[in-house]
Amino acid sequence: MNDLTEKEKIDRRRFLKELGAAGATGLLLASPWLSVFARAGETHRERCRIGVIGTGSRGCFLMGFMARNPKVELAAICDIYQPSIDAALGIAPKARVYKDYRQLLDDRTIDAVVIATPLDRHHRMAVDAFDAGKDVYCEKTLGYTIEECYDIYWHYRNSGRIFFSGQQRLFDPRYIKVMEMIHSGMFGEINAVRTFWYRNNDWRRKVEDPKLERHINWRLYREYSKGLMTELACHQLQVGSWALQEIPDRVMGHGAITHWKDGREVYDNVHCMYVFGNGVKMTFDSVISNKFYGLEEQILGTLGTVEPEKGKYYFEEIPPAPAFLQLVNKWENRLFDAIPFAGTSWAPETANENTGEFILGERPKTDGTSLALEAFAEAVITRRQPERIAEEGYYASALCLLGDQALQEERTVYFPDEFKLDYLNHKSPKQ
Amino acid sequence: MKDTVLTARRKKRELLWLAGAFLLANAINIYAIVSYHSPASELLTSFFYVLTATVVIYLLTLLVRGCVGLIAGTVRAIIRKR
Repeated sequence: MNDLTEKEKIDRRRFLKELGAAGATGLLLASPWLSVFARAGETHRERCRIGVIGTGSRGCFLMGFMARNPKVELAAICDIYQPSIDAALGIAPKARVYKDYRQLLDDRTIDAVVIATPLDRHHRMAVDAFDAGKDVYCEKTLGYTIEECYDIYWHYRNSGRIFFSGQQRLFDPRYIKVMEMIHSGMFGEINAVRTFWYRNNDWRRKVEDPKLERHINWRLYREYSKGLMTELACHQLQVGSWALQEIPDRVMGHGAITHWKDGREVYDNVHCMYVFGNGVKMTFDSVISNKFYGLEEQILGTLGTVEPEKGKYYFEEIPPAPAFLQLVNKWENRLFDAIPFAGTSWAPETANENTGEFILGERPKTDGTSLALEAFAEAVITRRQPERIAEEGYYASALCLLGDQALQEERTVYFPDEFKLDYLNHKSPKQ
Repeated sequence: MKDTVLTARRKKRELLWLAGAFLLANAINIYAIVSYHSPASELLTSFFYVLTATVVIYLLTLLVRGCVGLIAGTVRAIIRKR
């Protein structure tokens, strides 16, 4: 078995250094799932065998990280599309190839599966995997409906297996660090979270055979996906409830196809507003016909603002300039104010010119996917499910599915009691 | 090109002007610190601004003195001609 590679040692050391407080209480309070790394030093001679179901672009992206982890053996892959199989074999040449995921699940040498298939298949595959005694890492969104997500969650609970969802921001050092800062009150009371994801492309993949259009471009058809809400919103809504330590209780919004009228069935323009019990709001909006603002989660506190995608935070009150500069500025203003110019008689409240500070002292470098997969491998090897990771995944999925329901039905949708877990501000009727 | 001779007296005079500019810049900084209720540590942390202001003030005095000298020289030359 391999020892830790130099690269891996350096990565983990840098991760802990970036967080600035390995094992610190505040850090574990804000992100308790990090305890999964507590025994990483003891498991460096162990290895888990993982099968990947769905080796399209996302599946191969995940495989790229796992192939570099000496604690993971990519033992099997499963897909029905030959170009995807070929791409996956390029990453894991020794992996056994299956065309039916049930055969992969029957392989007793496989410890865990990573599910990266189109959304409509997650539920069946995840449930079958738990029933087959496998640990599961399922890409978000967990299920096509909230009922499916709930069913997956309870299969996980009843099976005693390990369960992660593809919420990689939970392992992104800048998010972990900034959540600790938010929870310590550094940015005051958080009263609003604005999230958005803008792109300017049709979201289509090239299709060689027209018969495969719906299979390759599954994100565009409601039979397989719920579009922007299930493919993008999931990450950002989870950040909002992580920051507020609360689950919103209702959602309203509107969706439409306003630009890409090319036969797709999912919206290309959505806006949702989630409302928490105390009136605090979280919005998600997305259009795919303009990319100027990119993606961001803006967490607005009474003392400051956080923009974790940029890796920055900004305080409301910035320290004044040195007195010398203030005086020079005053003299300069007096001199130029004496010269009459036409202008408004009032000053509009324009955005603050505040360059802010980097959360980790430098530009962000990773998005947490590598560490999320490392954490999954650790959990599979140590047989310890990290606290709250499954619940965070469940609620992220539930929120974007409720958002989609609000868009479809054009009404306010309340979080159904029957799908609540005993988590944060929610009480489960079942527990 | 002609050699330029800077006399010791001239050098001393320019150094005095520079010292005066430095004192004035510090005086402005102290006035600003008091006016804006800023911490006294800015006497040190604003040193770079004080040095910049010293150079600006010195150059301004040089400009003013140059203009005054030019005007005085022109006036003297006119009087001598008459």
